[in-house]
Amino acid sequence: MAHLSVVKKLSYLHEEQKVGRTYVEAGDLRLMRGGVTEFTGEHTAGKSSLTLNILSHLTRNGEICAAVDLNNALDPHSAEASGVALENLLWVRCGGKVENALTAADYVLQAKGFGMVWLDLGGVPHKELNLIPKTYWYRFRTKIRDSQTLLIVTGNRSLVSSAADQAFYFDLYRAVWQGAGRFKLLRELQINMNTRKPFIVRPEFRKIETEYRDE
Amino acid sequence: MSKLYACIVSEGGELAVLAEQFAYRIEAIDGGILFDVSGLENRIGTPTQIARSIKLEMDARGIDGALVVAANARTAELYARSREGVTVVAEDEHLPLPLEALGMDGDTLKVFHALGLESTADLKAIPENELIARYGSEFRATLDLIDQNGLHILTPNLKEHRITWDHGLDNAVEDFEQLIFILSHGLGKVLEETQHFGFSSEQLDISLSLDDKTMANYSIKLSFPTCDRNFWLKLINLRIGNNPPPAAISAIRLVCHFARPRAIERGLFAATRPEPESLLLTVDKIKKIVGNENVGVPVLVDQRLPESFDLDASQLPLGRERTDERNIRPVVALTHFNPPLLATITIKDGRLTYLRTQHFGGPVTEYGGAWMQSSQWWTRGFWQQMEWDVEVDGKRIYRLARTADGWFVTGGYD
Repeated sequence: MAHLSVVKKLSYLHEEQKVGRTYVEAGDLRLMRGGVTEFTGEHTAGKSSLTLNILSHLTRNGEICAAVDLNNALDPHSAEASGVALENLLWVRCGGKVENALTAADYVLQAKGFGMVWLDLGGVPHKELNLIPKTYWYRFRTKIRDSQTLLIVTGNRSLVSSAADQAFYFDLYRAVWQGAGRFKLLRELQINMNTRKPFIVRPEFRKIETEYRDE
Repeated sequence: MSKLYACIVSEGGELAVLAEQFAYRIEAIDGGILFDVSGLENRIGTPTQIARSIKLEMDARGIDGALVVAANARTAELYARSREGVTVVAEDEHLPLPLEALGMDGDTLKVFHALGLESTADLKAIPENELIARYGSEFRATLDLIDQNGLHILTPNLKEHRITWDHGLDNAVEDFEQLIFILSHGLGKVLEETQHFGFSSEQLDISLSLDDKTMANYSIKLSFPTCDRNFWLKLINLRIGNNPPPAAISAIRLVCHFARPRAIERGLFAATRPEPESLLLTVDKIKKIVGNENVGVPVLVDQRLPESFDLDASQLPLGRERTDERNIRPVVALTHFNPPLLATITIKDGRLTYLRTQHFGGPVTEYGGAWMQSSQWWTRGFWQQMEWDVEVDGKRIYRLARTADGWFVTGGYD
């Protein structure tokens, strides 16, 4: 009888949490469904490019995803070039109003069944973002806990903090240009991806290429 | 009150819809439609006037065929199948028909023709007793047909395709939300009745009679059928809440259109997606906050413009799987700045050297361009916008644009 206990050991609880978890795999990036993932970094750090890459994997599988776009920043041409199936994407333009963006994200998460929800908080002054109560992020996390929805929050700096299940920080290593003189084209961005959560590891080096089309 | 029937025999057209304009009791017959127009005398007038009204409606709908108005349903059908154009058969009138129209057997018909009898008028001239003595009591049915006593009880067989619920209010109500309880009751009734017929619904029409003698009409169409009362109620509330009636409401009419019930059959490994009801309600709720034009599906515009894309607010995400093979890899994405940032630039020796906006600035380390935008030749600004990709301080890359109004940073790569 010694092995029977009403209180579960912490290690068992950790094991239980791992069981049944599913992941979205985009290249070598593995993001947990039913969790909040945060991508932070300055402009040109590759946050949007990688998020669109994840969106393309999900939307092409027929999953319905949502982009809650605080500052009307999404470029559908870039999304299409990344492979996003636009017909499976719900685009919400919030016109720079933080409160609207959070309410819209709340509604979308409440609807259940979205494969991924992208909350893009880029391009808005920090003083406005600082007004977001931390409880919002815990609320979001609780709402999607046992669902298949992946919530990705992107911004210039960390907002979700401890409510995030996974957090990454990006910075630009260098931009590679091609051509000479005035006739130059941006060829690729070389970025460093730093994992902040669940544990800090050495930065990973990544290349994101441009795609030009003569339409 | 005497009975009156109309019969139309036509090869095509929306006969049932036409008949519904004049009657509740409608029977679809082979190649035509038979309907009860009794009582229309009070509204339209004589049988001739009723026939004229029906003919006008037929012309308006482009229906070409024979129309008969008669006091007997069987007579109306008989004449409609035998004559062309519009015929009104008065109760005590006899219009001759060829004997073939009566559906007699071939031998009898041959005998009549041999005797020189060609029409019903010829047959009517012979005493009934003699005909019955010769051809038996079954011939009575044929004689009744000639005398407009044919037996045919109109049996409505046209399936209903909508249900209507009306409710008048004692006092006009300003706020629509106050009517939710009443509407919920009516909605429950129509949806229950819809289900009773074995149908579901994907369209509801709501007509509100207003205090200023006008009407406010709302039509809610879904891409899927459902009989979920709570869902419909929330949707009605949201749609009318987004566009409230301009005056107080004095009466409500609810029309529920039938649709085939939804067959739910999804694969075990099908991709996750929200329930259609949930998705539609969510979109409507978000539209209420950010505006109708800001929620939808992105669409590309096939033009060379600074922002050659649009948002289709009438569409919802489809959840359709793409089967084409494509190598998915990260691609550098552009993000737009809304509004664009006014920029100041420095050019030295024909090269862009410095870029400054109210939020950032720095030396330009690399740039590429220029590209021309705005190909709309019919506007003043065609080919007037030039764009560059500019790397500032070796850290950030922006899109710089020169327009007729000056220099702007319109977006950046991220």
